[in-house]
Amino acid sequence: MSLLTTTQLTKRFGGIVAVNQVDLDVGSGEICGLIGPNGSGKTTLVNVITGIYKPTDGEVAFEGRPIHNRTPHEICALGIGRTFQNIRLLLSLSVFDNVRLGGHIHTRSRLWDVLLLTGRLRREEKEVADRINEVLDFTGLRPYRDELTRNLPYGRRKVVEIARALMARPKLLILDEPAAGLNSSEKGSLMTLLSRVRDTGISILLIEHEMTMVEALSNRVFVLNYGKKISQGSFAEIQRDSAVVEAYLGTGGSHA
Amino acid sequence: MRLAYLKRIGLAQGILLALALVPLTGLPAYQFYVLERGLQNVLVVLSLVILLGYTGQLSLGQAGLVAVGAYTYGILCVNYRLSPWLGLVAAPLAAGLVGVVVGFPSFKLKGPFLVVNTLAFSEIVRILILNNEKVTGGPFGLNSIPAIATGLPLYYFMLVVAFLAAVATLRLSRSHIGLALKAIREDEVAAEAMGVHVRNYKLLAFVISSVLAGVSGVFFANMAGYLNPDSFTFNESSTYLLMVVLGGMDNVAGGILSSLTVTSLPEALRFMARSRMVVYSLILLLVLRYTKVLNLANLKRMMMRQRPTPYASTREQDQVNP
Amino acid sequence: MGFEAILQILIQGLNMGLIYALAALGISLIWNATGLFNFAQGDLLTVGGYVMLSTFSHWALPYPFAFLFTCGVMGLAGYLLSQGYFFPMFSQGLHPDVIVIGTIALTVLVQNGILLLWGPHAQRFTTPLGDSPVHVGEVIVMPYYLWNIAVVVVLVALLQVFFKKSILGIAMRAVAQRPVTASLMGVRTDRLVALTFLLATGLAAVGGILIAPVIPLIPEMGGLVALKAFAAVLIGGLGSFAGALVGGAIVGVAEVVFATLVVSTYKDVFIFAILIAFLLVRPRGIFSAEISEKV
Repeated sequence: MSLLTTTQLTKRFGGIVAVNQVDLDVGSGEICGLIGPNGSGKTTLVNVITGIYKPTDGEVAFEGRPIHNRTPHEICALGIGRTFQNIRLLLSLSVFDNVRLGGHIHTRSRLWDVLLLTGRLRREEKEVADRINEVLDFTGLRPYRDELTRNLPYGRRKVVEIARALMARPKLLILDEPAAGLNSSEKGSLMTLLSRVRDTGISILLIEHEMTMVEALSNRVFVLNYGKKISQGSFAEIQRDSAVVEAYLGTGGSHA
Repeated sequence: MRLAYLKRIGLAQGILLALALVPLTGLPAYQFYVLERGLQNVLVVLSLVILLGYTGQLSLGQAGLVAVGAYTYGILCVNYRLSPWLGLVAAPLAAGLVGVVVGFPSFKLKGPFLVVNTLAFSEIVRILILNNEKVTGGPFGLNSIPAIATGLPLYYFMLVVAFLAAVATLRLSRSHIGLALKAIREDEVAAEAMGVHVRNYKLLAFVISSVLAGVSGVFFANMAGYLNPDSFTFNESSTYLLMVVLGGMDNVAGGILSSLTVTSLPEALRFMARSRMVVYSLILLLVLRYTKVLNLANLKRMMMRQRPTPYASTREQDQVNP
Repeated sequence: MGFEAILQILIQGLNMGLIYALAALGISLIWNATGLFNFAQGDLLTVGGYVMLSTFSHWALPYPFAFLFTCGVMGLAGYLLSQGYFFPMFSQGLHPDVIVIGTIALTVLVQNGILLLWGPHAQRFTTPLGDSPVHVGEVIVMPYYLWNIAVVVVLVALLQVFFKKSILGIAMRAVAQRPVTASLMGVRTDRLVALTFLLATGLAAVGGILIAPVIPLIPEMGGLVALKAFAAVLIGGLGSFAGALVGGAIVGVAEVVFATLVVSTYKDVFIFAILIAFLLVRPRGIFSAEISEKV
């Protein structure tokens, strides 16, 4: 049974069709790559899936239940986590606080508990702190726990975003170009991290341009161009598909 | 050694505790009154620390909410002869309810749109007060309002309430709720994607800040014994905003100091006679201009030997359509 | 309701409405160029009126000369404000909320300044057309209504020509679209922003000059006019030239309609209620000029 399914998903902005009748699915415990030239609609597709945009047409189902009418925070509660292409962290806060935000969805204490500093709040904050340390250890960020996020190098900030998403214990993690702007050793670490994430049972939908990473990690790959799905299959299969080659190289050497 | 002690009880709490000793200094009556007003304003500044400092919702409507608190208290005590203690409970609740209405559009309004919305509501409140003479006394004001306490007992009562409010605000700041609010301030989309119900949390910020403003209104009524709609205008709302900015936006201790300083400033400038209000506003404008350096939060950090974290948005995408 | 009554309401409403439109225009101009909402626009309008009061009433300079002098002085003040206060705040990367509060601090300064320089009492002057009511059929019209409408119409026409045909106007529009790109291409953005402020305060000055015959000047007038101006600019569409005019007209006429047909003390409440309704349903106004956030 697949975890996430989109059926004929379409998103129009005025006259522009950013996502055009896309059928996509991600199964349990697998990593699916989502590739395509710049502007092919990958991020928009992901924004529709995570509820930031409402689809113009089509459906999205998660664990069999329709989610295309739900708000982003509801979708987060259902078990979909994500990172953003242009990192969206709270730069004025520490790594600890940024990762802590990821766990918001699981907090149970109310305002009452906060104002009166009840035992319930204290217990919960202890649990949260333990879990944060767990996630920081898992992602190798422990040494930077109290660093101001603003002071971190770009590559490390990307890992913080992944740590934040992991805090919510997602079943599906959607990553939007996590390798962009990373040097080769950082990319290597990222690949290792993502394999380990998959090994814990979390499925991944990976938007990437870094093909070696897509090839090494993905079970299956979906290819978009101009909003339409033009191919899907294993990396080897789509690599041979002429439609894919054409999309990236163009016919007669035009655009990329 | 004193610094370490301050660090333990917190600068905000320290300032308020220091204020408890002021009556012993033999401060003249009028200056003491000004200090009291500064203390009353502390509650409104705290309300803006939460609403603007933490949640990033800019409001020019706090004066209206203070008015709701003050007049609800006054009307209940004068017209319906309710006990002032009941008024103290009812008035902030009324302000909180109005806060729900004022804050409701916040789910889709940002920036100037939100500010104008709050200003419009505040003005509506003021006009309603002005034109319902039978209930509110209209332009002639509401007189002879019974007080919970007067003189020194009132001062200490206000001090206790301010202390509790400061502690509550600090606890809020450190909690997951405070973190959610700050996430909304800095990046709403990311906050929502991380599971924060942005709409409800914004409303929560409005309600909490309205309740605090309402309590401030009750204190205003108690101190003055008399209410007039002219005390709750755009000018007052502006001053509250200036106070919270000068205090460092999201800094509780800074906000408290700022409230006391800005309230006392016109008094301190009394020697300038006619031009004092112009000098007052020039000082505010200048401090604002150099607020990156010149704000009380930085002063606090210098005193507590912490690193500065400027309240600045580094995201260029600050133009958002509602 | 007779045709004359409608005409009466229209003229009276447009008279104030076009003054609100001028303020709204100033707000939109600054918003387009800098993303800053100038909360001081109402008070700047008031100062303009007071400067005219000094030059025209107190120093007895001829009306046209006083008019131009006032606009010039106010324009210069706007230019200096931009270069000396607001633009440095933009460059420093201060949080936009802080800069907006800067405009709010400006209102406090302006009101106190007016109080110091001109005193608290209501003062007034009138147009060269005088104060004798003009009878056009059944309609009774004050001469300054017609004067105000005429001045604004001419001014709007001049502005249209300026923005469409003059190099400076086109440059200002270009900067408004893409301030970052413009500065990267070596355009002196600070100068163009300062010119925008100059234009906005100049427009405010005209508004102040035109409002004095209708409503006597008091130091607090800025706050009273401001919210109506905000309503005008938001209803019409923030950032839109046509929006400022239409929004102002709507607010001005609505004000008169509510004052005469419904309870006059609550006329403002109705206008603010309409404003809030617009904010809830169509915040970008009638003529929307949106800027979207890329996710």
